[in-house]
Amino acid sequence: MHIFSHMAIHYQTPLDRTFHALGDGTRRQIIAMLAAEGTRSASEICAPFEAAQPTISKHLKVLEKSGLISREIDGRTHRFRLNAAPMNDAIDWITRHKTFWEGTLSRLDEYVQTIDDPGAEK
Amino acid sequence: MTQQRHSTTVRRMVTADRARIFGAFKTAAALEQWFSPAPDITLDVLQFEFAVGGRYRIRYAMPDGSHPTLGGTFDLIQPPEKLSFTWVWEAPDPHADIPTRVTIDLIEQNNATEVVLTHEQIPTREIAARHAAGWEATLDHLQQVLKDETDLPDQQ
Repeated sequence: MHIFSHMAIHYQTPLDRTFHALGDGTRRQIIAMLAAEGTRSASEICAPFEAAQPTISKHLKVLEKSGLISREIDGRTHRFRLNAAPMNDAIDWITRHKTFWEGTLSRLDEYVQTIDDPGAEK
Repeated sequence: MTQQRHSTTVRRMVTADRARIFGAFKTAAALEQWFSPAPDITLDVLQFEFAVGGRYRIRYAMPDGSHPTLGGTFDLIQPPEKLSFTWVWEAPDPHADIPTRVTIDLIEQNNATEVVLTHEQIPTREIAARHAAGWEATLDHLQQVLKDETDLPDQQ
């Protein structure tokens, strides 16, 4: 069971990870904080929250895994900043291919309506 | 985050039976009639072997004069319900050389067919596994060659 839950996480697409990361209020607040203030250390991120440091650490790990934030280690200080690239990359790819296939399937529909269907009752 | 993978699924209800829709994918001549996102984008099917392991190659002609080109291999042909092929854009496309796969499922609905098309990047691990299989065969062969070589002197 442990392995399966691990695998499930492993096989998620980047977009799944992005949405999972964004599906939590604390994590959204962390993102908002980093968006407004740029780079922040772990303790600066922890300060406004009631939650204990390990809880915030966990949230930071989820965000890091999703690629939404990145971590820089400077001695004992961990600094985090927002990283929009993985999301933009995913959105770019998906938008392009979705548009391509929506158009193509619509033409498939038109095409099959025009060809003769030997089995059709006219 | 070196392992970026993307996928997208597009669905469409088409009022035709599955065999007729499947037929639209079966020949180069049929594909050239419709296989582009818009009527002003035309295509030439440069290569088309509709068989498992067979290759295809398509060159589009865009209104701006560019010619995006792509190709791939048919992995699965299961008439009239499923079709799967690899899909790789060629340079200078921004997505050139990224291995992806297109899978089309044709699902029977009342008097119609739901076309479900999934386009996904092929996981690196799968490519790695394929390469690994190739390497294993090579190593088996090497081992056999070495064994034959060492066997001979030993037996004398």
